[in-house]
Amino acid sequence: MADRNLDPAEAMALLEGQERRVRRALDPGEGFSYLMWGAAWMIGFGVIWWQVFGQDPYTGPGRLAAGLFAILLTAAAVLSGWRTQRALAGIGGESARRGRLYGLGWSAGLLALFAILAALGRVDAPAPVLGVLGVCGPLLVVGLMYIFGAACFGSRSSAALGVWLLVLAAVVGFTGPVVAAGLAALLGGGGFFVAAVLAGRGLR
Amino acid sequence: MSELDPIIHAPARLRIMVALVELPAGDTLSFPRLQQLLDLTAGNLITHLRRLDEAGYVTITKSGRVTTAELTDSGRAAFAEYRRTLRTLLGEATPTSS
Repeated sequence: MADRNLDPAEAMALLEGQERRVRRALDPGEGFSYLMWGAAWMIGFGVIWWQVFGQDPYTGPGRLAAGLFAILLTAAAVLSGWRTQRALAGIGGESARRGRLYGLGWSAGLLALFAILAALGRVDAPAPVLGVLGVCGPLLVVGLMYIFGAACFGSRSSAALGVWLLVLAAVVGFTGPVVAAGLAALLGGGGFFVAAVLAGRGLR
Repeated sequence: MSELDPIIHAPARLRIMVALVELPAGDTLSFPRLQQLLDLTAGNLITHLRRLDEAGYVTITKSGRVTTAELTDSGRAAFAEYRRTLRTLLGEATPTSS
């Protein structure tokens, strides 16, 4: 672009046009990420609930349902991570450092939870205990991560979602492992979809 | 008072400043990403970045093969002042901050 003189109106139009373009390019797609997680959460916990519904005594979901849930969560993480990475490519400094720590928190938190579940399985913990922790654990870890995300990046939709998931983590376990899985699918997955709408309306 | 800063008041440099001011203080932007956001040739970009660097508005850092640019505090202040002056010239109400 030639280095020429601009009149004030031209300069303001150029400034605002470039501002819109940069904001679009640097947008990590918060709403897209909520939709991915909401779908994974709703289908994953929904299938688990469908498997355990009516079990008497409760024996827990089969490996297929648990494996499907893990695959869905991984797919959501990869897709939303790819979108974020693409938007934030080339940015260094303080935000990049915070982003790396935040990403580490997600993977380390969920891995630690899965390790705790495996350890409990190893000492023959009763199936209902594993069932309750298998539902409330992800709600707790993910809820905390969204609140940390709000603290780091100032997103209000993330704060609202984090608080909602923590409320569910504190409450749904009391309904037992079967109803808890259903509530996590419906109210947890639904919470992600509401957060996507809030983010789309500019509540960031 | 109503004079636009000539360092910023050129299309390429104005757009570079806009791209960098969108990042929070303390963040850097790599040269290739900046080029992609602005659609400028490498030569054009470096020429204008150097001009902003000489004015103390931008810091250019080369680490290995990666070159990054970052807005300085005085660059941030100069851009805010530039925007205020533009609004004044266009007859818009001047906000307390921009």
